[in-house]
Amino acid sequence: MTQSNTLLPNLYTTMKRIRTFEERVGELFIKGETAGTMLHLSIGEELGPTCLGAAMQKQDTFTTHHRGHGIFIARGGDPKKMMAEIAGKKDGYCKGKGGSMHIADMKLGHLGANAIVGGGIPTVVGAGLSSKYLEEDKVSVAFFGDGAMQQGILYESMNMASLWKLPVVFCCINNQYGMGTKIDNAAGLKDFSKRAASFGLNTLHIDDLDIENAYVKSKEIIDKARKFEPGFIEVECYRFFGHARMDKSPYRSEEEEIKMRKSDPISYASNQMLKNKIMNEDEIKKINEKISIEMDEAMDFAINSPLNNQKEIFTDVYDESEPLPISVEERINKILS
Amino acid sequence: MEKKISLPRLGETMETGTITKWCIKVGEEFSRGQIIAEIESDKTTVELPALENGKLIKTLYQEGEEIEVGNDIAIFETI
Repeated sequence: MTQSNTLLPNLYTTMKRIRTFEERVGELFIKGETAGTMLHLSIGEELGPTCLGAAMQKQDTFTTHHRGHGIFIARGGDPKKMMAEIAGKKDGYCKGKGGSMHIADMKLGHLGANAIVGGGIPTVVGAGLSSKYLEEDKVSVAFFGDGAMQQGILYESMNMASLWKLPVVFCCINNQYGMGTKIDNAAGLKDFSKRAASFGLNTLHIDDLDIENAYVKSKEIIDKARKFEPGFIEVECYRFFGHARMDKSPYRSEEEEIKMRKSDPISYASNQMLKNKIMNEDEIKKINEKISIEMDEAMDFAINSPLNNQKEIFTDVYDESEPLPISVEERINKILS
Repeated sequence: MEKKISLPRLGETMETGTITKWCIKVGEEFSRGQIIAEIESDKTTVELPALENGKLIKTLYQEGEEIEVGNDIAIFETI
């Protein structure tokens, strides 16, 4: 295969890995093996994380929102360690102490998932400033949902990124719903790019299923950010299922769900590969089977991973490389002596 | 091989649940991931997906009956 012929299969594989991972998380929950029940799956939303993940460079950093499994997979997260984290087990990325919504791994540039709406956004401004100051050539990308478009912290962050010309990209994964509230009932101006442009950011609005095109366009925005022109990307998609695993989305009609689930980035990519004769049905089936095995293994790994000793709750709380603060008694003795 | 499906715990405080809808009828085949039933707990309604491919042999509860967590709710045959 030529280079242009490997791009779509690679993007397809990442999207399919994300979806299969999320399906297995759903199974883990039904088996009673997850730590907690708040599992926010990104089924239907695979396009954005996949194309941005591929367009970013190895040294780049990012933060995610509460629905961040897919973003981490697209950036090289190990499904076994992720699944173990979701199960609250010892072998998880944060020894099972973070769970689904607080996975982090500095080695892969994952500065942390954040369950607070918009919570991960200001972090990338700090990361961007650090990268620029230390000349590290790192772009930092904040991933958040459409709910965060209505948070003040986003606009403070956009302003600072623009003012200090930081290598930062803000990426809104607009899945149309902030929990149970449709975007029409939450946003005065739905053309989010206009808001970002008013801060002087480069903008991109992705609203179709052509992932190759989305990849090329996102890469342009990220490359410009590397040259200290911060950017904003909105990826429109549809959250195929409820807000979390426990939500059957009674606030929207079944007709809407059936219609919108047809906008499936994975079947679209698969059809494109068949149409352009990049891969045949057997080859796609083989990829899907391999991914299925990979994610089954991740699920088994999580189930078989041991639980932590209860004493673990006291570790990783403070940075032990830092000197301990002076005690009050010591301070008073110093003054009195 | 015959296998059983039991009522999962869908939240920390859930002790019983109700099947509001059987989405697969007895005799029908289903594939992994397909929704078998809708289950209502004290707080919410959740879709129960199949964990493997199978054919539904028997349902052990009617829609609307209160069921304790962990009780078997259906029998299926693996395919």
